[in-house]
Amino acid sequence: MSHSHTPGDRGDASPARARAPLGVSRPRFLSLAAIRFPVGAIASIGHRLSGLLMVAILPLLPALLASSLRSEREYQALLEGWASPWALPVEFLVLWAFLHHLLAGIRHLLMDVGIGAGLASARISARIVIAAAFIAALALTSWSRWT
Amino acid sequence: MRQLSGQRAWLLQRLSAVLLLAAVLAAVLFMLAGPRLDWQAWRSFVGHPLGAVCILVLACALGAHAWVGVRDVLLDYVHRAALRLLLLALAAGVIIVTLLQILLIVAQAALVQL
Repeated sequence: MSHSHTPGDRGDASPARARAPLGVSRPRFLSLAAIRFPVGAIASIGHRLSGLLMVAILPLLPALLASSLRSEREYQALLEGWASPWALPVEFLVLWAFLHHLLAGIRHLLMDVGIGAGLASARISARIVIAAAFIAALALTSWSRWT
Repeated sequence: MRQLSGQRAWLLQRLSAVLLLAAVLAAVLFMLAGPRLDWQAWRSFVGHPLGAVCILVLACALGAHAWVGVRDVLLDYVHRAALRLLLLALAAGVIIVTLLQILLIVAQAALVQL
């Protein structure tokens, strides 16, 4: 992704428009709402977002590990999960981040060795990764509630 | 700019990814087919030298993977040198402190079992 900063990039002063050849009016900035990202870009940005999310909760890991070892009661409490209604979206988000990062990562590793690196197959696998991570996170979140 | 050349980071990212992927697959297989892991079994796994080494190796892989990922994202999106350096240092600090905490907890669990 390159962000080019040509003089016409910012502000709505007219020089950029005046310099455009043949008086063609061109968009002078990237409007995120107007752009349709290719599906591979969505899978890729999801990979980055999910990775960042997991790095953000990384510092919680030592406390969880210590708690799991401290007493049987705390160990069971961790396994049974957090009963608050807030747990539901948090659980979904963490599961989604883990699953999306895992699946998108496997996709990248396979592409590194040349599997599925063509445009058509890369588009299909990107769709599969996005859908599978979402559906599996939803299924695991509901399954953990009903069992 | 040897540090930013990227090839070592790329390799470290892939190697740690494969290691973590193998651990996830092993954990899922254990959950599906293995015995129920009660508290006693979990404690003796973490306290056992082999279990402790497994956990520490995985923690290091996780730390390395997190570092390369955060570094890539910061180098791509944060262009102001001072801010970039600050965020890189912050990420490195958080990852190193987390790894040290895990090391202490696992060492303590191993000592308790001696």
